[in-house]
Order: sequence, then structure tokens, then C-alpha cells
Amino acid sequence: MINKIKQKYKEFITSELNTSYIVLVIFVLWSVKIAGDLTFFTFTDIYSFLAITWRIITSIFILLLLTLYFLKNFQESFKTVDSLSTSNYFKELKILLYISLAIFVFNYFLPDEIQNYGKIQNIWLLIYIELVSIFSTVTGFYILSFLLKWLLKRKHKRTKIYIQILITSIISMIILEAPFHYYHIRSEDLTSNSLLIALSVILIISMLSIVFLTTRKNNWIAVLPKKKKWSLILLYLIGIFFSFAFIILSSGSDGESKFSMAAQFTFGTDTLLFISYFCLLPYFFKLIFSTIVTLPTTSFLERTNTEISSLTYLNRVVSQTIDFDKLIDTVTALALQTCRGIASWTEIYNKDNSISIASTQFLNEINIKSLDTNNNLSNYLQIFEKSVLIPSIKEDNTLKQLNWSALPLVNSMIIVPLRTGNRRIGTLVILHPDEYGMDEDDLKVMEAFADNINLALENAKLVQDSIDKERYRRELVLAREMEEKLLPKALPEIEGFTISAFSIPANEVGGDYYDIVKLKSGKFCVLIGDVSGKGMSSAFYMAQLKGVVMSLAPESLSASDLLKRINKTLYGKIDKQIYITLSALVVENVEGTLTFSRAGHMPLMVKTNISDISQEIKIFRPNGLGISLANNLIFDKWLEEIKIETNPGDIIVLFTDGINELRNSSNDEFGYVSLKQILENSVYNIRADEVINNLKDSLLQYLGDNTAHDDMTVVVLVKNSNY
Amino acid sequence: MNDTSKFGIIIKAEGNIAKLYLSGYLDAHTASELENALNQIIIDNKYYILVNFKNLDYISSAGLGVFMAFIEEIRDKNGDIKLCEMTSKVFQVFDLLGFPILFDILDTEDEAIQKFKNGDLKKNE
Repeated sequence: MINKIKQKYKEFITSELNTSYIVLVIFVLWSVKIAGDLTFFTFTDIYSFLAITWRIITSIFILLLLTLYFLKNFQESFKTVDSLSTSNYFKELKILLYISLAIFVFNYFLPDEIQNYGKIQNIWLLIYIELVSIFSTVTGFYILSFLLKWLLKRKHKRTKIYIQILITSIISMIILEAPFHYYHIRSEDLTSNSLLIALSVILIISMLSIVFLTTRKNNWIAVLPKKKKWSLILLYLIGIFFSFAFIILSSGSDGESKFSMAAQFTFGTDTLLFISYFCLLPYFFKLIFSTIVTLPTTSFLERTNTEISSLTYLNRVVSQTIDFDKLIDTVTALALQTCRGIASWTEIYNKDNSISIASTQFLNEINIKSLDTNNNLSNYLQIFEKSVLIPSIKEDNTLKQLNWSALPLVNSMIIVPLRTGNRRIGTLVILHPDEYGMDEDDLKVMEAFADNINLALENAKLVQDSIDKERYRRELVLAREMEEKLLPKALPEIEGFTISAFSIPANEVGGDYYDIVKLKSGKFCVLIGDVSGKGMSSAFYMAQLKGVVMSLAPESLSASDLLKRINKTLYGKIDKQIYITLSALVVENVEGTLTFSRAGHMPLMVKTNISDISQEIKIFRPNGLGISLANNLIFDKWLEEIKIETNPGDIIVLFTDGINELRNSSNDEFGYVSLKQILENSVYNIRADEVINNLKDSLLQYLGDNTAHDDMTVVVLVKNSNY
Repeated sequence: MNDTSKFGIIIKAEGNIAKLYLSGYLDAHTASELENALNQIIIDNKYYILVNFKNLDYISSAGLGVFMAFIEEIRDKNGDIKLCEMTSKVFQVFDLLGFPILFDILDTEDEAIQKFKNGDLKKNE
């Protein structure tokens, strides 16, 4: 039943219902009530049993609706920061005092005759009394919601339960008012009923003590400027004066006062106002005391100072620390110190979705792991976009399920999300031993802190990036040096041929390879190849290839045999996405017989001289898969070896795809055609090194101001004419 | 040289076939984009992958390597990568390496889909 009401209440409070509808209904109800009163006034007695019952019943409905209206407003006021600001507090306090003053003005204009159920002279007086009654009811509600709002704003552990007791007491008091309404009919002096008196006194004392106990966390006063503090003292003094004046007014010795009589026209209002002013007394007293105490500088100001100094310190750290890890350490320690917590940690979300604990203060990773056995916490932490205060972990549905026996002293926490740019990189968690031990002010400081931290992290990240870039640049230089060392420094003399080669490394190391090795038969084998991809990895694979070639060549019988052996050795041993294209050209004899095998590499280009004036460019492209693309069964099956006969003056060109894919500033490719042209333009008796030089010149000329983005490697053999 | 950074992938689904439409330049710099796309497809448990090269202007060795990186896993799951609609220039690069031996390279998308339907898809039914 209670749960059902609670749920209905929650639904109502969160509903989008416009409060003006409630006001309208209240207005109608009040009009009906007044109309009834006027009827009673005209035809019978305004204090008849029936008239009083009429007022009690209609008033109960009005009070219920007013309660709903204020609850709704109350809920709204907690949604906006503005309504909870100190300046708004001053405003609401002043309104409270103005309406208190108005009560006395109203009272002044009430005729004395109405005291003790005296005769109401005319209908206009009745209407005036009704208006006073309405005003009193609204005032009562205003004062109570003022009190509750500001007590809840500065709530502590037991505030909620205290306020529940307070509200229950008020409702009881209002119910107790009913018998008094009927008393004059039976001419009994109920004020002498000791049971009722005792009950009322107990309730009032309990309410007073509750308000007194709930008025805590008054350190917000300390930060006010002195002038504000004085005006606060003045306002409180006026408030105390009004409260006392009202209490004296309504509990006058000569029976019911004028004002009480008027207020009673709405059932419950007299009691409500009476209690409200009673409750204001301990509240004002306690606050006036706090204000006077904090007139000189207090510990809170010192706290603000530590906050400011740690922020300043953080800023200094930001500008000096470029070490990401060190920065996290400093931040974790500073945040803990600022919030006066017992422990803190920072966890970082890595790019591979793993989470690492980057820094801890007064706890260790094992504590965190045993607290968060199912990773619920780390998932939960990642939800928060903004810094958030969890005033009590026992009240948080997710957090309370964690194994807090691992950290028994912790009762509240602040969660601060960390970012660099738009990327969420981690969370800073500050733990505090007391429930409600940290407040909105701590959160605000942590938010400011978070902004600074995020800036600092971004800086550190930028510095890290530029270090990485520099490292990468140096790696490239190293890789290039390495490749250069792997290429042959001098080429051997091959009988019957002149031979020459060049390799122009690109700005990003490309992994081009060429070499001349001797096979088992002692025949020379020219190799040219290209490792896929670019950069450091290509250079390493190239080194590996060079090693494999050097060990396998002396055992190999032919061009295809060498390639097959290389594939068998490398297949499955290098990354799946890496492959090598490699061509092998074996010089079989001085007469110019060549054998050629191609493992996915660029074709072989040969310019042959049919006669002095007739020449032809032939492209040889035997079948063959790239190395490490397939196992030796498939590779061997598809690898062809062809025999090429050459004549004196023939030019044989081996090259890598850097040559034909070379782009100039207009992004055209150099292509076979240009390569062919250079060969066609070469004179009959040209030497290999001359071809190389021509080629190099035209390549560089073609490139212009552009940088090649792939290595360019060419090996040229020219058949001597003297054989 | 800035043109090389222009690479695009559009992914469409037709039944349980994931279709990738590549455009621009696929080289060492942009290969990771293709890699991520294929990774995602595999995470989604799709193993019938059709790659359309119609608008691809250039492919480098690193770009070719991407297919090698995935093919084994995909075929282990009874799936396949089929390549289609290559321009002659792009086909030449595949052809030089011997890719036609390792991959189904088809002229049109329909042929590739048909091939999936006739062969590979049945294996899983």
C-alpha cells in the first residue's frame, strides 16, 4: 500500500503536469468554500456545527492540493543550480520577512470583535477574513518549503529521516487542531485538556530539536563577504523578531487572537503557521550563531585557500610536466588532498579497451580488484560524462553491490572523468570516509580540477606524440641505413656481360632488394625483389630475406630452385599480410643464355638487336606467385622457369614497381612506355653503367620536385659484343 | 601526392554477402582502413565477402597484403573473399603477383554473387 502511494507520488512528481492546473483547481475549491461560508453567514451561523464541518472538509482538499503544488515546485527548484544559489537564498529569505510583516498588517486591520468567535458584522468583513485566511495558508506553506529546501540543500546523513519525522509531526498537529474548532459550540475549554496540551508540547519540542539538529553544514556562510554576513545577521534578527511576535500573537493570554480566528477559516492554517514560525526560531538562531562565529576568518577560508593553491600548483605542474605518468600521479594525489579523502586512484582506458590502474593513493591495485570483482565498477565509471558526487555509496544502487569489505572505511566518493580532446581516457576516483562527507563545493572544485587535468593530459599527449614522431623519424633513418647496408656495395664481374644497378630509397623506406649471388654450380644469379609494405617492418623483412638468400643460394641448382627454397623457408614465418616479390635471373654461359624465374615480381624487360637498325623490346613474364603467398605445393606448381637467349648489345633490365609507378607532379605514372623509350634510345654498344646513368637522370628529371614514395631499384645487364 | 590519401570504402549487404566498394588509392597509408572494415565484417560473423574494385584507381603491395591477412581465417570458416570489376591496371597488379591462382577474380559483381550462391554458400547449408 505504502509502496503504491510512493510510486504514485513519484509518478506525479516526475510527470510533466503543469502546476498552473493545480493552482486553478485550488482557486475553484477555495471559491466553493467561500461561497459555502457566505451561505452559512446569510442563512444560519458561521460557527454552526455544520459550517465548521463544511470548512474542515473543503480545507482538507485545499491543503492536499497545496501540498502537491509545493512538492512539485520543490522538486523543480532542485533541478536548477540558480534556485539553489546563495543570492536566491537571500531573495527567498527577504520574501519570507515581507510576508511576515504583512501578517501583522492584516492583523492590525482586523476588528477586535471577532476574537473568541465574536459576531462578524457584515459580509465584507467575512470576505476580508477569508482573504487573510488564504494568505495565511499560503504563507505557512511558503515558510515550510523555504525551511525544507535549504535544509535539504545542505543535507547531511540523517536529514532525510529528520524531515520525514518533522512532516509527520506537522500533519499530526494539524489533525489535533480539529477538536478546537468545535469546542466553542459545546462551550468547553479545550485549552485545559492536559492530554492534548501534553501531546502538542511534545510534538513542538521534537520539531524544534529536529530543526536544530538538521541546521548544519553552515560553512557556506563563512565564504560570504563581510557585508553579506552583516545583512544576513540583520535578516535573521528580523526573522527571530517576527517569529516571536507571531507566536505571542497567536497564543495570546486572552484566548484566540484576531489573526488566529481569521486564519482558522481555512482549517489547519493556524497550526501550520504557528509551527512554521516555531521551526524558524531554532533555524534562525543556529544560523545567526554560525554567522557571528564566522565573521572573522575561519577554517573554511583556509580550505578554499588549499583548493586555490592546489589548483595553482596543478597549473604549474601542467606547464612543466610532459611525462604523462608523472602527471597522473600528481593529479591523483592533489585531488585526494583537496577533497580531504582517504584514498584515490586513476584508471586509464587503453586503446585496446583494456583498463589499467595508472596511479593510486593510499590503496593498491589489489584493493580495487577485490572491490570490483565483476568489473561492474569500471563499467559504471565509464558511464559518467561529467564529474559526479556520490554522497553515500549505500544509497547508490550500483555501487552498493560492490564488495566494500575490501575498503571498509569508504562511504562516499567523487568520480571525475578524464579526457584528451573528445576521447575519454580515464577516470579519477576520490574516496571519502564519511557519508555526505564531501559536498557540492568539493564537486565544483573537482570539476575545475578536471578541466585543468584534461588540459594537462592533452599537453602531455601532444608532447608524447611529437616524441613518437621524432622516434619514428629516427627509426626511418635507421631503417634506410640498414637497407643501404644490405644492398651490395660492389657488383661482381660477370663474364660476357657488363652489369650495373641503382636503388633510390623513398622518403619512406620501401623494402627494395637486389643482389648478385652464386648458385651451387658457381653460376651468377641476379636477384631483385620488393618486400610489401613500407617502413621499419619492410627493412627487417628485407634483412631476413638477405639472410635466407645467402644461406640458400649456395645449395640451389637453378633460378626456380632458389625461389622455391626461399618460399619454403619463409612461408608461414612472416606476417600473413607481408609478402615478397622476387625475380631470379641466372647467367648460364658467356654466350648469353639466361634462365629466368619470377615470384610475383615485375616482368623482365629485354632490348634485343635483331640487326644494327632493327631492334625489339621483349617483356618476359613467366608464371609465379609472390613469396609467402602460398605453401610450397602451390608455389612450386605455378612457378615457371624460362630460357632467354641474348645477343651482343642486348640490354636486360630488372626493376621494381617503384619505377613504373613513379609519379610526377601531375600524378602521371612513368610506366613501361617511358622505360621502353629510354632503352630504344640507347646506342648499340652502350655499357650497363651508361644505361643506368641515363635511366637515373630521366627518372629524376621526370620526378621534378616530387619525392618518390616508393623505392626505385633497377639492375641492368648488357651483353658484351666481344663474345 | 595528396591524391593518395583519397580512399573510400562503402559496405553494403546482400543476404549474407558483405559487399565492399573500394575507391581511390589503396596503399600503405590507407590499407588500415580496409583492414578495419574487414575486421568489422568478421566480428559480425560474415564470411562471404565480395570486393568491388570498379572505382579503385591504385593498389599497392600493402593493399594486396590486406587480403592475404584475412583469407586464411575466412576460408577456415568456409567463407571466401571474391574480387570483381577490377580495372585493367589494378588487375595487372593482382595478376603479376599470381593472385588469380589464390582468389576468384571475376569481371562482374553478378558473376561473383552467382559463384557464392552456386558454390560456397551451399557448403554451410
